[in-house]
Amino acid sequence: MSTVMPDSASVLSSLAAAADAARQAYMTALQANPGQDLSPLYAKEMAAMNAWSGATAKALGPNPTVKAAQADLDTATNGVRGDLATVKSVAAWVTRLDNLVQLAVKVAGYFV
Amino acid sequence: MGADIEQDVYWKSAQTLSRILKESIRVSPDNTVATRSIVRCNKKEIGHSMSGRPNKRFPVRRVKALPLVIAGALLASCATMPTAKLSTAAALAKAGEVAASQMQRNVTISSASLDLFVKAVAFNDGFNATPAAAGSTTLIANVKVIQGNLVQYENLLQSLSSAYSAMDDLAEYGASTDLDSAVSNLASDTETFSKKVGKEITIPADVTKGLQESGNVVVGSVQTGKVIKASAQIESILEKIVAILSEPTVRSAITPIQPQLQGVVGQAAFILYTQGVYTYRPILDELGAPLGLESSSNADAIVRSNKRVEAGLAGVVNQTVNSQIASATEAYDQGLAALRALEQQHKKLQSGEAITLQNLSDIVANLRALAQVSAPPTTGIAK
Repeated sequence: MSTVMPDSASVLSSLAAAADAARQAYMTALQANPGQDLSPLYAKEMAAMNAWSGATAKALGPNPTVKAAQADLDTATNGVRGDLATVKSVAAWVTRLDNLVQLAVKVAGYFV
Repeated sequence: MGADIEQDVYWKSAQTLSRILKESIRVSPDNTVATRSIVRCNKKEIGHSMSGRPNKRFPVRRVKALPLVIAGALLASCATMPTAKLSTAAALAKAGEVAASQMQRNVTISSASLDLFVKAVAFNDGFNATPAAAGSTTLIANVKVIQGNLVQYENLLQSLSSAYSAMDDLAEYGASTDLDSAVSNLASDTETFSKKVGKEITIPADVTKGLQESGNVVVGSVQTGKVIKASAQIESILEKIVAILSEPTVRSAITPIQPQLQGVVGQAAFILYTQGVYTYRPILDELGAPLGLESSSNADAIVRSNKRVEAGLAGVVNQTVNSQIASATEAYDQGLAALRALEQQHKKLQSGEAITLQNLSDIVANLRALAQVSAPPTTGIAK
């Protein structure tokens, strides 16, 4: 397994993409459920946004395990994007975003 | 000093007369002599530019006092005058000023936009019954830090625009008063920006000095020499700016903020849209325009009673938000392309090659288009 460090731009880009996917999920759920309480989803979106925005002001630490964490985050982000056309339920989105946010927070933790 | 000025005036006089002569005997494509008025040329050439701006490099009072015989004797030198280079330099400077200004407009997330972002977050918090302390306070604080980087980027672009404006003044009117300070400001703002984005550089002192040495108003070969030197100075700094902006870390530290801010603002608008606050009619009219169709006055009621149509229109709104987000990132890349294009044209100017501004002009047009996507004249969905 390669231990080459990804550059911080690439990792930040992954975090930004995760935040964007979280917002897309919120908007998709809202479109399908305009009258429903979406606050749990919104909280996840904010957490993803904060993971990204907090990292932009810091430097990526020299920890090669970030590469695997980034790959996991990208997979989750792509999974969310892939579900945008099909998943309508707020509860289903909360579960998916919960996983996404956990991974985003983990990746953001590499920025110190 | 006085002798130098007189010599410059004579030199300029000859240059002007040469141009007047050329203008007055210019032959049109059908081999007939063009009927340009010498009087009109005189007015344009001697006292004022086309825009009515006083021509600082050729004070009219001195010209009137010149013995025509001396000026006439100097005409022979006119064939070798570097006016073409000055015109080329002026064209490049104008193009650079336009490009930098347009880039600045694209980059600008003005304080009003940040205010709008804060309002949008507040709305989103309220709509979702989520206290700010649960997330958005941190977000806004983080975004303001990133905003600081962008403000410095804007300052840099403003300085670049000013440096080009000063170069234009030098090429057009021989005015070099503002150039030293403009280039110094550009160097200083470049250094500050590089520090902000963690790519600190220092512009060597020799890059920013030396233009003021032979007077505030210059003509002839002195003017051309200064213009070329100014071009080299700007190019030298431009090269460093391009290198910084090309860094992936700088790109990612700057570009995500605009998409994310637009995303949050767009989200607030989308929430309101899905709640039926806005009229659907602008979108309906836009879709119907190619067929000459307009929405009827009861269109909103029809849409709201038809979930499939409503979902379709919500998709259009969502897509619009995403287009705006993508345009902000593209604008950064286009801006960088504009700076690279300028860099190439500086090299050509200095080596005496013909410059080509079409590519730059195309990029600026793209930037304008992207700015319109990012901030449509009628923001929001309401008609």
